[in-house]
Amino acid sequence: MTDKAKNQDALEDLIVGHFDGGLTEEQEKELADALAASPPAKQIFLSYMRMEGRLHSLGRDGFLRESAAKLQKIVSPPDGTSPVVQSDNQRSHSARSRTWAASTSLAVSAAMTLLLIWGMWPSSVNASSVLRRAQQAAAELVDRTYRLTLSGLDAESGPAARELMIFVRGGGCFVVRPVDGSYVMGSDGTDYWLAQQSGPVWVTGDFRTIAPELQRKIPNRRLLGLAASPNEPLLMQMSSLLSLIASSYDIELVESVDLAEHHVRATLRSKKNNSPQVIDFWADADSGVVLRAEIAWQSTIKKRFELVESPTLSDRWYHYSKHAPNRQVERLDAAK
Amino acid sequence: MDETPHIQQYLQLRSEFMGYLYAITRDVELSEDVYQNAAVVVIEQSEKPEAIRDFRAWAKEVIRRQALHALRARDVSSRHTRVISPELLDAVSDTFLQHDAEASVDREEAMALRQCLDELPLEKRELVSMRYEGGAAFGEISEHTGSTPAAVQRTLSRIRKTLHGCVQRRMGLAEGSL
Repeated sequence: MTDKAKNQDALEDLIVGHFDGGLTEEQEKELADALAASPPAKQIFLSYMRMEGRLHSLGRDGFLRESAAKLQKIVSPPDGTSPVVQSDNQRSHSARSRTWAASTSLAVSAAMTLLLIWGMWPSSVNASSVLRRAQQAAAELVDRTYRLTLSGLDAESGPAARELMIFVRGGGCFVVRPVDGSYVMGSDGTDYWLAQQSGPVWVTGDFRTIAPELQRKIPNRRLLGLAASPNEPLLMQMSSLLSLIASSYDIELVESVDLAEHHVRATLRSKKNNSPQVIDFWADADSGVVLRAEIAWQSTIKKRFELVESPTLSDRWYHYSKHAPNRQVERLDAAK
Repeated sequence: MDETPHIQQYLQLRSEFMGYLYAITRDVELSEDVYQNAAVVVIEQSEKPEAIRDFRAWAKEVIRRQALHALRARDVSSRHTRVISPELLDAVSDTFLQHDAEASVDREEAMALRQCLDELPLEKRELVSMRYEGGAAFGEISEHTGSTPAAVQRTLSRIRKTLHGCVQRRMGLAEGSL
């Protein structure tokens, strides 16, 4: 090892020791002197500092455990056969495939019907008509469950993403639940509410203006990306997303490979707006129901909705009492 | 001026801010609290008419002030390690304030770290998970592994140096610069 390499190794020992809180006073002084005198030492410290921040963030979001579990599966196949690596995406896709099995047959039927009449019937489908039908379908008092995948919420998200389940119904009703169950948030069409795994239920009639107050009271790290943006609560509801498209976007019908669905691309008219730059949605050609939507901001943030199922849920499902029973209720707007 | 909403810019700088906060507090919970409190300042500032010319520099100063306030307010209890010396606190803060890496470098580093983590052997990966996800102290980890706290600390120290070297190699900066 060269002197230069030895010096760097010694510096790295000091830096790692500092993050562990294990340096003596003399070592702390040595590190402080190095940082004050040496630009390269600063660069090394900064790269360790960013790495430390990332490791804590990855740990906080559960990504370290996920990968360790994935590794465990590879090392220890349950039946003693050769290890088979199945990625998170593949697993997610498998689950999705099962959920979609029932709807696939309907989609195939619709596609065959369309194929039969294709060429015999003059098509009057355009982007506006698809959007109108999608809005009508979204306004129906029918319960629909979407899987929402958020990616690129920060620079650290990388290829991974956060997943939430969203239950929506016309009339502004929705319930949002991340897969880890750390909180549940929703609206019964009148009030927005939010509950963590314990503690009170926070209720407000005006989510947007209350966001900073809510953030103070609920320092949930996963929630920050949602609650902090004025656009997010709006886009929790499919009907609101479609209304936003109708008011602020240029729309075009994109050729779809699947005849059972229509693909519409919406491009934001004003580039200075904080709204998403491009929204793509795919609506069922028969019912008009939005099957998928992909929302992209100018930054790296992307959001993807996928229709999972259409369960029948009670009115109470959208009320906090169903998800956080017997909890103290605190109205945020009343406190202001 | 960057027209990305301030809170989005703030979220994109999370690792840098959390790294700094952890460097001066050595306390994950306190670091998260300071980060959240500073987020509230960012959100409130966004509602004000005054423009911020250099958001990153402004946010760093917010973070630094919030952190110093939190450090002063914190009672030194047994769960906290020895308080950082004022000299080192100043040196770390100066380094943090002067740092101005490009966002693209941040993203590449984040991606490289994830790839390097994937390359770690299972037992090392589990140690990292216990430490950073479970927030376990060296002593707690040693009870699981059947070793000593000092041995766990040494192993984790080596793992982080390995990870750092791997990230640097992936970033094309394999050669040390001292």
